Amino acid sequence: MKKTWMKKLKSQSGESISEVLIASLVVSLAFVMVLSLIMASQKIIQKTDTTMESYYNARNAFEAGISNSSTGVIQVTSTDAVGAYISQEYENISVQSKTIGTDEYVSFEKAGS
Amino acid sequence: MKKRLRAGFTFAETLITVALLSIVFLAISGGFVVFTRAYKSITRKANAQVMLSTAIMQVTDDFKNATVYYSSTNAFETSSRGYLVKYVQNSSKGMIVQPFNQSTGEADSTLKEIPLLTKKTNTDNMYTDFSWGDTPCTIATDGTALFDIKIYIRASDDSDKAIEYQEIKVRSNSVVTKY
Repeated sequence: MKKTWMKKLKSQSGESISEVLIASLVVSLAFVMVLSLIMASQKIIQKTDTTMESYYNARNAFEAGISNSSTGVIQVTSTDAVGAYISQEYENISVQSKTIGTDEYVSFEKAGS
Repeated sequence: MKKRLRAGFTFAETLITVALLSIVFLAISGGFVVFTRAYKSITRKANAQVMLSTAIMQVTDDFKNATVYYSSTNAFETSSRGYLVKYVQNSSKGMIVQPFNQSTGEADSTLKEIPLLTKKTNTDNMYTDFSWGDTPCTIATDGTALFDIKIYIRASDDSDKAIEYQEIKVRSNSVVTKY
């Protein structure tokens, strides 16, 4: 190992073009990697910012009672229809189901879809 | 024995080497400055997001458990604190939860005021700031109150610039008496 280094140090010949190119490539790759890491962190922070803002805006609307209620058709299907019924409370529809038999399906179909 | 080579670099070679080294040094130092600035900005933004979320959590807890609200002073009684409090701003500590005496219209000196966020939460020279919404407290038909407050996270070493901001509306869990 020591001999190789001494040989290299005493050598009068310079670096070949391929060696220089490979060295530049390695440095460039390291630079690109660091840059991509910064870009990725910045994107994550921005995404978090947007998500937080939309979450708090939705929460504000919910707290203020002005959130948009989605409208749709609720379809309840069951292999045994006796076990399923719908009860309505105020403006909200709550769906309750009883398990009779082994199979029971409750599906929600959005209007217009 | 081989005679030792005494030839050195020419002046032109030296000049070119120095010029190239200067360019490389400039590029590296420029890149380092950009990297450091980007790193600091990203870290600060992330810390500000954590601070904002923590502040919102605290404020939400106070408002959710509110029972009495005084519109003249924006003081409110909350069961999560156990006494009448008022949010006030301190330039170094940020938002302060100040025990309040409605009859005197001043801070209740018998109780100790506490910062909304602890010293350890106020990281990176940042602090919390607030302003009330257009209608700080609205009483709904069922008697519950809807509180409206704007929370800012500011950087004291960056001209008190707002790093993060969010308006928060919180409905109380129970009936609130408004005076």
